[in-house]
Amino acid sequence: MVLLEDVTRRYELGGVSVTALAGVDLEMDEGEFAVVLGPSGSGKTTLLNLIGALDEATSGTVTVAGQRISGAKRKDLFEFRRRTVSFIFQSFNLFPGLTAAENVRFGADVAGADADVDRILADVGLGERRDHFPHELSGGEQQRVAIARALATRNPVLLADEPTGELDFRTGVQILELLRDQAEAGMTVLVVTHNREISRVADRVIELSSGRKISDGPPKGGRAPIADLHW
Amino acid sequence: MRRVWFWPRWAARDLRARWPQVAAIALIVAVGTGVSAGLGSMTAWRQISYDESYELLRAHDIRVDLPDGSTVPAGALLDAVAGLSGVAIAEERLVTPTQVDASRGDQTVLVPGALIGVDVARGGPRIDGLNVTGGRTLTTSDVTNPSVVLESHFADAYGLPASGEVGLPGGVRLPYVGTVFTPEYFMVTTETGAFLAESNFAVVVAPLPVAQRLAGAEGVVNDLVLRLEPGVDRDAAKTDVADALQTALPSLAATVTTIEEDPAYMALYGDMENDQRTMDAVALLIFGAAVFAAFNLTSRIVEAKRRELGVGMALGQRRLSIALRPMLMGLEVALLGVVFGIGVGLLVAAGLRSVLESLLPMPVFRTSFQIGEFVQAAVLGLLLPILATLWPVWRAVRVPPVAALRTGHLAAKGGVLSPFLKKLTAHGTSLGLMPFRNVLRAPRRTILTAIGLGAAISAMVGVVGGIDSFNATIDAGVQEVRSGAPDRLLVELTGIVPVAEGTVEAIAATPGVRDATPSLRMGGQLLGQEGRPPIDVFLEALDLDNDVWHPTIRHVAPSGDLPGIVIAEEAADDLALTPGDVLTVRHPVVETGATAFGSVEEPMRVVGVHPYPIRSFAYLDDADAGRFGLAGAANVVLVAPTPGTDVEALKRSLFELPGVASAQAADANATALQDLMAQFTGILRFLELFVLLLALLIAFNASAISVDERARDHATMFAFGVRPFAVLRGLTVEALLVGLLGTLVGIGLGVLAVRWIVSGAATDMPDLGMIVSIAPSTIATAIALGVLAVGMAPLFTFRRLRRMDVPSTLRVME
Repeated sequence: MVLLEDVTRRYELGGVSVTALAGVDLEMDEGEFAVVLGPSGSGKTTLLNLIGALDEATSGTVTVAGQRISGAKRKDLFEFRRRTVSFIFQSFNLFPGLTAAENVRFGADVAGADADVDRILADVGLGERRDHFPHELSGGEQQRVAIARALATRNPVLLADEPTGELDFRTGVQILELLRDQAEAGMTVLVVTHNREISRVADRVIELSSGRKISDGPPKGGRAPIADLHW
Repeated sequence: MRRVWFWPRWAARDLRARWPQVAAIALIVAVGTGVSAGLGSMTAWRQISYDESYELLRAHDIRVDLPDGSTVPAGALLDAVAGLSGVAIAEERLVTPTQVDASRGDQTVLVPGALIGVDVARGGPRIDGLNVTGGRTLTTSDVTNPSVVLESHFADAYGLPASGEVGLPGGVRLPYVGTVFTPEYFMVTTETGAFLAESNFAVVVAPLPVAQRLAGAEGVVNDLVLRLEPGVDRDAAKTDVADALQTALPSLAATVTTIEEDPAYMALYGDMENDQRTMDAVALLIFGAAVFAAFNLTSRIVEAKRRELGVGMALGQRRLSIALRPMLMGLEVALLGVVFGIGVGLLVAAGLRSVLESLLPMPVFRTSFQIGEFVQAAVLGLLLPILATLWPVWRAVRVPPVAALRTGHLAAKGGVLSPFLKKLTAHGTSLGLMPFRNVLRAPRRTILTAIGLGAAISAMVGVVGGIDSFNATIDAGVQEVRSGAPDRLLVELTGIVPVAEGTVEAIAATPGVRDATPSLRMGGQLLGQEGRPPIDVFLEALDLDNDVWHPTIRHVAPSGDLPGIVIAEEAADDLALTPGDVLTVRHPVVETGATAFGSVEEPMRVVGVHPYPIRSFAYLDDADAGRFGLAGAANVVLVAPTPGTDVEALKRSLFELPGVASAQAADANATALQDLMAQFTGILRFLELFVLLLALLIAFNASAISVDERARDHATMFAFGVRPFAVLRGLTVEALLVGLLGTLVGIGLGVLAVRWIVSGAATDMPDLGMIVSIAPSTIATAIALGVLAVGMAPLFTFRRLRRMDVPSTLRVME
């Protein structure tokens, strides 16, 4: 589903060349729940942005759901994002002028998907909050709306950047359960985090350091039940 | 020293970070400052130029004129005032109505006018002098070799050369040796209330003996002008002159006026004051737009800096110190605005200078840089944006530090309209719903932007609507004049003649005349009730059932046992009269033969009102001509041409008849004014350009700020694959909604401004019954400016949208 071959991303910052990712190879299957782990500045978000076609690799190739996005036209990248990937952000990024249900409807609208908004909201536990604006919801509720919005696209790849970063432990656990449910339902889910504890619930942990992949495999000690997490 | 510059430098960095918005706001302030300074300069120029022009040509202080048809032997008027103290010089004149034929080649120029006979001895006239614009002035040699000069406005209106030949009634042709300005015609006004009438009113100035011969009035005069010694009170002198005349010539109904009562003087100075009021209002509205825009920008910048202010609070910085940076930013915007404003002011002044010089040419025109006006506008331009920053800054520094430091979802707030927003749903997509929700979600911002736009648009609607009202008033006059007989001609006779004498018959018998109706037109006054000033009118005794033309009479009431009078609706309003009421009419009556009149007052009943917008026309039945002692006499003939007649040829034929002073289309004055207004309207494109610029700047500002504030929303949309064009579409819809709201506000304020302008004009031109009217084209222009121009503004932000660094924007915490 996701294939990165020798991907490098360099930036120019104040006249200095910074390598965010260096020669990364990665392959993910459909329905896989992977966590990208690493400290700040390790290249996690860059990796996510490259897979989501928000950024372009300096070298190497990125292929997602059979589409080679390296070197693709701008127009095709927009189409790719509408039909193939969907995002969940640390700060939720809900549209403040739309209610919960309308935010979810947005996901379906842009992807041209025929989504049952009320059912999706009910699935994330917000059936009763459909007509609330984001500022009327708690952080956890907002993130669940963001997940619902991503699910409404019916796109096969879900990319989540620090989805629990702004949440308390209890709420974070609920969000992780939701994400794992999606993987079990067949979506390819890639979660970026610096929180090692979260990586314990993934099928696979990809660890980055200074832009390089330093490990890739199942979590140490095997996949843990979400109830066992502590942070 | 470093410490002193620390805050201004930081504030300047804030400005640089938002330079497009800052430049836009500075330009808005500049337009406000510049327009205000430019318009203020215009009044100063006019005041100086008018004062100097009147002084240069030694305009009269007091004028004595006799009723139409009255004359006295030359020297009689001078003798009457000879013993008065305070009079420096006095000169007699003969002023008679005439018709001037200045046709050249294929161009037919045949217009009514006045022949003014003046004393040219000793380089005269010494009062109401002549300022030569072409050729030469009159000398004593022009008495023996009769020559005249033409008034310059008329000559310019037809592009006549500096010398040539003109025709006068009775087949007389005379050389004219120059073109001149003279104070009474600095603005060409006619007895019937027309102004800016140069294309339809020719003034011919001749040596007095020549004028007397031409008018068939040898040895007589009907006009006296006086210059007073410096420091003599004009009103007191006026009373003295009137008393002296009453003593020396008791049966003479002479009118004594000061220069302040001269129609051209009143129109010029009154117009200047009225224009200044209007321009002050326009400048105020434009300044208002600038203030709202400045307020809007500062509020948003302060809001964007909320966390930084919170950090300052957390570090124990004092409120005053926290407020310093945004306040300095306001000051820097204001300074930029004022600097640009001086440039805009010079531009506006240059435009107005050429407009003024072509529309109201004067012997002296001073258009120097008016530093006082610029300083005044600069101070306002400086203060208003600073004041506009006070409120948002005051609000920001009162927020608790913890609230200022809050980030992410905890900082999100709902608007006061949140409960109502849920009810606003769309049948289309969520993307289509966003612009409507965004407009309503931040009502304060929406309203501020709309008011800013509205203020700019109202300035345009106010001024153009004022012109529309003038045009509607003139159109109403033209409609009334043409009613029933569109080609009607008005033939003025050289004097009052018995209808049976032959002139009227000769007119009726002229080929091309279908019908002719005699009429007697005399000057008079409608006397108001207590506290209401009298109204000068022409009392026209006319067969109200004639077949040529009669006024449209509304609200007919029986006259009963009193003579009936039909007055203008405007006069009825001003005198608080309705049909059936009785009023006192002062009118002339023959007392000493056919050359002089006395004056009587008698009650008459208002038997109806007519819709002609100039209130100085009142009608009596021709049977009432006897009240003037002139039963069976006429001085005007209404002529209906035979259908298909060449009206120009008919005018020439009539003009050549003995006893005819002029023959003109009855609607000539009104149509000439229509033409002039059409030229004047062109000037307003200038103002519209500034309003367009203002509207665009305000809209651009609002759009640019929206793009900044919603950067994260837009980045999220891009992450979900929404294309930039779709985002732009949403922003455009949002701008259109705000533009529509602003336009509605602008049109509403503009209607109020038009009413205000019209009420000002009514004060300055009491004879004109102005109609408040805003043309559909004005509304359409306002909509085009407000909605379309504003809707276009987001296009200027498209480049920024396309170049957005989506990953960085998505990760920005605050």
